[in-house]
Amino acid sequence: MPKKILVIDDNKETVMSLNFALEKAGYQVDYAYDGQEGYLKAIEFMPDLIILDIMLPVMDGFTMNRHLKENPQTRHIPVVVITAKSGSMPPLLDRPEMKVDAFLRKPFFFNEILTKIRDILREI
Amino acid sequence: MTTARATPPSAHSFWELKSQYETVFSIFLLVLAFLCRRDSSIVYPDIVYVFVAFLGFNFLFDRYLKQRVQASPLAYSPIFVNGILITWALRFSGGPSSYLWVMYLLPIFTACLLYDRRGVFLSTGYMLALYTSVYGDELWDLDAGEWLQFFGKTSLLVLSAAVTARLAVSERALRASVSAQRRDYEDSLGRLLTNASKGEEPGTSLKALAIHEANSALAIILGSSQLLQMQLPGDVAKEEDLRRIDSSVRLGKFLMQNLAILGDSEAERPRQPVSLHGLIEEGLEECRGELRSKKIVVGTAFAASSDAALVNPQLIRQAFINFLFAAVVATPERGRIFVRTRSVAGDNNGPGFEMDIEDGGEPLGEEAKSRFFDPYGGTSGRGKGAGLGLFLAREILRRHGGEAAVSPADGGKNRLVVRLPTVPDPTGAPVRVKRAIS
Repeated sequence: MPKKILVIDDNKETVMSLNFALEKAGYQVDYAYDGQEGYLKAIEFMPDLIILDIMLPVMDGFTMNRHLKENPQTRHIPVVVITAKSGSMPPLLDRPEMKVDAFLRKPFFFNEILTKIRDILREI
Repeated sequence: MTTARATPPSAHSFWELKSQYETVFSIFLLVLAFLCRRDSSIVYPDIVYVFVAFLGFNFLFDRYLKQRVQASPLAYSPIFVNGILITWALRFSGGPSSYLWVMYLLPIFTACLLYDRRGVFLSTGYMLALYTSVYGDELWDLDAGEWLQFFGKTSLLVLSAAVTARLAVSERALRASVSAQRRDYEDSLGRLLTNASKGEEPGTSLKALAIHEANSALAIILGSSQLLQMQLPGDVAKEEDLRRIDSSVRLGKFLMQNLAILGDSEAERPRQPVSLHGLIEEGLEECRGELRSKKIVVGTAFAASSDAALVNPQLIRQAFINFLFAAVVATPERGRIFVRTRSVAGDNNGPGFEMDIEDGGEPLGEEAKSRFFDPYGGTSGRGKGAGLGLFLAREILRRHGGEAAVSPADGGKNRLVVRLPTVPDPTGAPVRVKRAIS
């Protein structure tokens, strides 16, 4: 049974290329283009891992991550944050109650994110 | 935080709209009354007085009274007065046979713009009652054909009123929507400008936003290039082209990272005690894509002594990334880079930290060494880098009381030496430091 990954990014091209790379790597992928849609998909799709962009329309990545961590159904799902913002990971995502599992700055190579995903999924 | 706010979708703009429509309509009627003065059904000049009264009342109301009566029942006075004036105009233009009944649509339109549903129903009912009054005494003397004509005209008025109401509601909704969008836009723009000037939220400054957009574009280019590489395995020529794209994207990302720290004041970049070894590891992590691509091996030998320094972690991290990236760029495929650290005496005899980065590139000549940290003089001089990374990195070190130099290493290699003062620890107790977040 392939592991399920949910990709949430408002950039269609990024979503499509990630979708292709992840499916080729053997994962079952679903995607959403905003935080609200992503949160609903997370509950419905129950992925093994979520790839989450920060700057999203409707509901931003911070808020969506907070909702994920507050919901007992989704609290356990590892989150990999991807962002085009420069600098270190925002402190908000390093708080114990909001902590994400990995942080990647765009642009990144498929290999980089696949390595992180494999490491995280191997641990759980 | 103060931001410029647009006019909210209030009744104010609808009053202005009402005023515009009424002014244009009144002037048109005045001209029409003058041109038709010889018509037998027109009572001239009385009808002109009615239209002047119509124009004058609305002008005075819109100019002087509307602000005072907006929240009171007197806000309905334009409907009341205009209804009477229109009915008067009907009587001076042929009574039941007049076609000026269409004027009733104007106050109905106004009512739909300004009032709630109850107000609209009351205003429309009032207009219909006034219209019926035009027929007055004649209403009971009408024959079947004239009744039919009366009902036909009344139905037409009601239908027109419904269409007018619909138009007014659409206009109202559209204006409210545009106003709300404009307010949101100005709010966000104001927030961005305020943040950009005050540096309150670096993540949402204009510079950060521009960098975000540029990085997003680079991500699309890199994603597309990688997709092509996955779809075209074995096509060596194309793979080479795509690798060049990848390399340019990496350089673009590197430039964006440097751009992010340019121009920030000291206040925006507070210093805190951090582990310099942690920052080196983060720098190596940032270069991992390029290291893997070129199959470069990195050896590290970190000193066991304290590596705590009071620095801005973002700036020093970026400086380390720039130094390491320069070494990666200079090193050929399957080459080797070595990173060593050690404790030294600082410039003011305090404790210091030194890092050597030994790259696998061609040995630099004396002239190249002298221009190594000049803009466009380091890796750019070797035709590979962007030309600003080493210059910026050394400037960052100097701001933190540190220095960088290039010197020969064993075996003719190039060695970059980076020095920074560390946190003095007179008690000898281990310094508690917060590792920078990767």
